Amino acid sequence: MPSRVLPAAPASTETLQDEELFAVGEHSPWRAALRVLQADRAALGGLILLGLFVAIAIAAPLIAPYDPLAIHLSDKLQGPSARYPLGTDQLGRDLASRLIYGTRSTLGSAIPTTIGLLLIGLAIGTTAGYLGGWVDRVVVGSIDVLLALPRLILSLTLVGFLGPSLQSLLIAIIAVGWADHARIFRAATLAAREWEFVLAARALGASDLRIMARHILPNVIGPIVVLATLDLGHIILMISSLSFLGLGIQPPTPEWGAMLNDARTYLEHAPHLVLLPGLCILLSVLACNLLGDGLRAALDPRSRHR
Amino acid sequence: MTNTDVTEPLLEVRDLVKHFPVRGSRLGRRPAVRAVDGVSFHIRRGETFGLVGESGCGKTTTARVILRLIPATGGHVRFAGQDVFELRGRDLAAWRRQAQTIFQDPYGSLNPRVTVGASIAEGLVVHGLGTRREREAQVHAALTAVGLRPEYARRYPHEFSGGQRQRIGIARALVLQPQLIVCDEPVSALDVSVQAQVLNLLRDLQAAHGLTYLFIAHNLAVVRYIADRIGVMYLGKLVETAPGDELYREPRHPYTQALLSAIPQPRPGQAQERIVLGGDVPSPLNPPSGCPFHPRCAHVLPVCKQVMPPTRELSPGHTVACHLYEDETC
Repeated sequence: MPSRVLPAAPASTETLQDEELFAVGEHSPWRAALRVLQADRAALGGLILLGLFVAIAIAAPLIAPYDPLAIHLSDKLQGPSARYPLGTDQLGRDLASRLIYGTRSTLGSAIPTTIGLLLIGLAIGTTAGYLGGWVDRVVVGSIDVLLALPRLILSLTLVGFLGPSLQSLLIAIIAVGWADHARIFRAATLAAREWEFVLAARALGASDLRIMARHILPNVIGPIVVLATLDLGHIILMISSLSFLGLGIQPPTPEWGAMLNDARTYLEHAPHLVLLPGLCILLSVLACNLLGDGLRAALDPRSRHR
Repeated sequence: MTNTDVTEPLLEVRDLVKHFPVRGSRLGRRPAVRAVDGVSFHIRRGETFGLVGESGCGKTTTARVILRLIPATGGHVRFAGQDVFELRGRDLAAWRRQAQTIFQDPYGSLNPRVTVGASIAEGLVVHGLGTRREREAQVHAALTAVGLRPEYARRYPHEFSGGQRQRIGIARALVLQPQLIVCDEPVSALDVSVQAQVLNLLRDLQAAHGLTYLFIAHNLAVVRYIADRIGVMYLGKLVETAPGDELYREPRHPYTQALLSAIPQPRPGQAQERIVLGGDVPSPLNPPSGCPFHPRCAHVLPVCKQVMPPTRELSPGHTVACHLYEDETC
């Protein structure tokens, strides 16, 4: 039927290799996303900054000049010097070392919490969306109730009930935060069930597992990654806020929010004690938000550049 | 419905029912949307059966139930003598290969994250057919058969136009060498010039591969062009079935007559009188008693409000469910 062949598309410039037919080609969404990320300075900045914080957290023992808990009372409240690059706090502990180890405790609790939240949200949300019926109604009801309560107060109450510690902090964050995620994953599952290419795969005879892995997950992974990145920022803020209030990570363990709280009293004499932990919180949350927004744009197939 | 045909039907649908229970029901009685309410028809090998009706009349639901994409509430579907609803495991997989589908929305029916080649090859992979290299060759052949270049296999769906995507969807169905293809409004989303190309392609493929089509549409001109026999659906019921030419020449059911009179005439001078239906399609949640069409019918009889008219064969292959033809049977 050569007469009905559509007008030929512009010939591609690269030569075609049969072996590449099913390989991840240059139009792979991940590569395209990477390319957009390269063009998006803000997102790239966020990625680099976040990478830097992660590297600092991992390498903390190697790069910290002092033990973050070592007290040098004779050197307390000093400004930056050759001996103490960012000065010392009210007990003469090296601020640089405390900030470096603070990165470790903040990210070390925020990242697992984010992953935990995502997994719990994914489990509850997809189950509710897939099963429907009374399970769905119970889940949706709980989500609505939870979202109607003020979060900070709810988590404060929970931490107060469980006793202040890192563990109760994380339990509180997950217990209060899962509803958002469950709602998103439930909606994604409901939408995915109606996608025509999912129906097409079922008509071809593909198994549920194959459909989930090949057709549904790759198409919701973008929103999941975006959600995780933006969430990491919120959770860093939450951990710092609750630690600032004395409900999270306990002194003497270095943590940015707790350090802020310690430094409040010395705001006039040693403002760097407040400014530097605050700056760390600001930068890490900003990095998450910039990266999250950039990824959201990059992973949207419609906005992707060819 | 059987008459003098020698060929046994490839697909036989009998009293198919699909009710969707409505959520949030109270007071014991569970209301249901009667999307498909007792539909029977058959399709012979190599034939195209057109199913027409307005939006929401149950055409798509009928197709999905036949393909076992959603479970039926009642009725039977036989495919080449097999009871489709009884198939399990291996037999079900083998049957899925025989019955393929083409969807309405060329933008929604292809996974945006998978190359076109991989989408087309998916059925082969799922059914474990051929080696990787053989599958590639089959994908290339299928693309060529639908008028696309084999190199397109490694591109992504967003790089194609609606018509090209629909061709890709056809290639995906074709690659498994099915006997039956259910075309669910395959050209409704395309503009008119591209519609004609895709319809011609479907016809050519039917001739080349001996395909049988169940062709669903709301556009009567499209159905007339492609279908050998046509069934008209209204509110979950098949009200009239007839060979294509006969249906257009001699529509019997008042609903079919109204539908046909609504086709725009190419030559204004010849405009025929239009039958304008009053009111809206009743809700399938609470269909009228008796004949579902009686509240809008110009020829309504007292009996229409009480009794659902049985399906009668007025002439060979022409069946109508209407009380007006009580005395006419062939």
